[in-house]
Amino acid sequence: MELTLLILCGGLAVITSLMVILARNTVHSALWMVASFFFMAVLYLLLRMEFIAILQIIVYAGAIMMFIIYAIMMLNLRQETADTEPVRKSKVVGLGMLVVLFFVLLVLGVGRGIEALKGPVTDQMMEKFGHVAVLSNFLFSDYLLPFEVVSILLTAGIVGSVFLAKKGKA
Amino acid sequence: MDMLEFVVPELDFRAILPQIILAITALTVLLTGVFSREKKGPAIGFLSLAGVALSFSAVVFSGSQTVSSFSGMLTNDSFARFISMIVCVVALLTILISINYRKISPAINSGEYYCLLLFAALGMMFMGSAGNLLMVFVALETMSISIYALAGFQKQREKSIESALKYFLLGAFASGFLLYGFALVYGATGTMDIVKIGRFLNDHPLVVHSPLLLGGVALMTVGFGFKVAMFPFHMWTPDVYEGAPTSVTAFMATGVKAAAFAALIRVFYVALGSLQVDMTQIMWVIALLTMTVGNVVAIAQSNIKRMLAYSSIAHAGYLLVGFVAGGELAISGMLFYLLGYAFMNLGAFGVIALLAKKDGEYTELSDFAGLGFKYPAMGLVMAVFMFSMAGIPPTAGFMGKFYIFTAAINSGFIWLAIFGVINSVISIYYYLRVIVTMYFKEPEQDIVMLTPTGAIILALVIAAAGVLFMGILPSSVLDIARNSTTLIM
Repeated sequence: MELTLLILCGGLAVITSLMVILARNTVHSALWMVASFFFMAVLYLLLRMEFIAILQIIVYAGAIMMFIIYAIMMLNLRQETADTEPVRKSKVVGLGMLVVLFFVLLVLGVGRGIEALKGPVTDQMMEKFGHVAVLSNFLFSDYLLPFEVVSILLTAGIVGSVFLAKKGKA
Repeated sequence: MDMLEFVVPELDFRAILPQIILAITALTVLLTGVFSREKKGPAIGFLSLAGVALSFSAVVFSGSQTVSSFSGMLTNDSFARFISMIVCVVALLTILISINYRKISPAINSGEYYCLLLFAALGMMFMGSAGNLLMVFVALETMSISIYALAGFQKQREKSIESALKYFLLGAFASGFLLYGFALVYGATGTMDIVKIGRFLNDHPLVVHSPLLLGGVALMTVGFGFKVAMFPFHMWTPDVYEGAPTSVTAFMATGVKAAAFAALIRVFYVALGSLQVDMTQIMWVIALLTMTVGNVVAIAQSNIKRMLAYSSIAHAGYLLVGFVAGGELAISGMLFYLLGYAFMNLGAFGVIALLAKKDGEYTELSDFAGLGFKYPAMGLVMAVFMFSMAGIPPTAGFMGKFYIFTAAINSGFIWLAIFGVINSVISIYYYLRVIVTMYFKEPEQDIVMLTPTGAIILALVIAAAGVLFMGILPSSVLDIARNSTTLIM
């Protein structure tokens, strides 16, 4: 049951993500992205991370998608860009490589017989203390440094994008 | 309901003091840029300069302990400190170049520019000291995102925007590969801690050749290969280097390379040490091709920024020779080379930045005609940098290549060293062409007027002094590099 759900939702997440980049209409792209976020949320659920799954839906499928759709509307990108480029050789080669890579990655996990190291988190621990407690405990102890550096990463992203987007002579 | 006990891990804030100083300076500079009335002066530049100098002294006086802290996220060893030192030198010289370059490109004189520059330097430092694959990734992204934006800072120049977009798209793609690789390695070993992966693979030789781990290693090689401009992932280099503002190109070519090589060395030697024999069989071919492609294509370039871009691919190839050789001698040689390369490359790009004018950049080789006699001092330092890149004594480039090729011969890669030397000989042709153009070619149009300021003169003098010092008295720097090969295992 779980495996079926995993394969189904994983496959649908891949297909919807592909539709994001293949759709000619930007608004359609954005809507496919919402769908892809939902399927990813299911994948988190299958990993027993209900909290992350809910965050994924509230923050990404909800808030961030609203911003993206607003931006598309403000920039007036709704027109279909009907570019009928001829299929170039490089595109065919790239597609072939993609298919090969896909199957290589698919078979990578097959045939292992060795138990990998296990982290400290167990199902019982999650049951007992709740997901948020376990998650935040690790976020602010073992993973404190990356957590702090991510804040700098986000600041850098904001500063850079604001500078590149703002008008005026430069 | 029971409460989960919160155990505070050992937090060694002194170990990240240089990074903290950089972060505080970056935010201060950003706010100063917003609130100061004086928009034209070099004040912001000097403020960032002071911050980097402070950070540099924090690195130098941070002692000589070898400990890991923040639950293994941060490794504070001599290797990490040497990389931090290189990053500080790179940032210092880049800021000095930028203070002069602001006259050509006013956008550079903004708080945002220096803020992103310092954030990128911070990311580079963390890449050198990351003890966890997660930390490697976060640091790499901090560095990359800042530099994607920096590459597009000349918004009115189409090439600059093209450079930023190209670097961003390909860089994001490469980050995806790297992350997928990390995920597969995590799947195979069950940990992201670099030291623990190394120990686990030592204890479980069966996992070492499992397809899951090998797939992860292959994808990681792609991700790192992109950042160091390794063949066949080097295609972006010339376009990005040509389009980006010259001061940013200088920063990218030296800082990113040093940081990416640092992360590459730590991940592959410490975490994947058990795979080293298998890796060298692939990597020596890649090293050979990277050197050869870089040097051969560089010959055909007439734009000096593109030429230096291909030359940076070639230099990545020389460094990969050291990576293939392995061992302490090779690591110290690579560290020496990275520092020397930082001096000579920043110097060369500094001269190019000096040549730029408001109406455009003078980056064609023919623009250099006759400059050697008109501006003898500038011609002389440019000649020093070119000699160093070609690997002619008594310069840092010669000693660096000497140490790396010696390490390769000691490890039994004699043919690789021979091909390295052949490549150096090929490279002399296009480096010397710059000098020949400067001194022996009649200028076709009016010679560019140069308006050097104190900052750029200081930058060029430091760079030239560094190149010559490391070439004439290499032992003092090499001793530090030799003592900096301790990686926490």
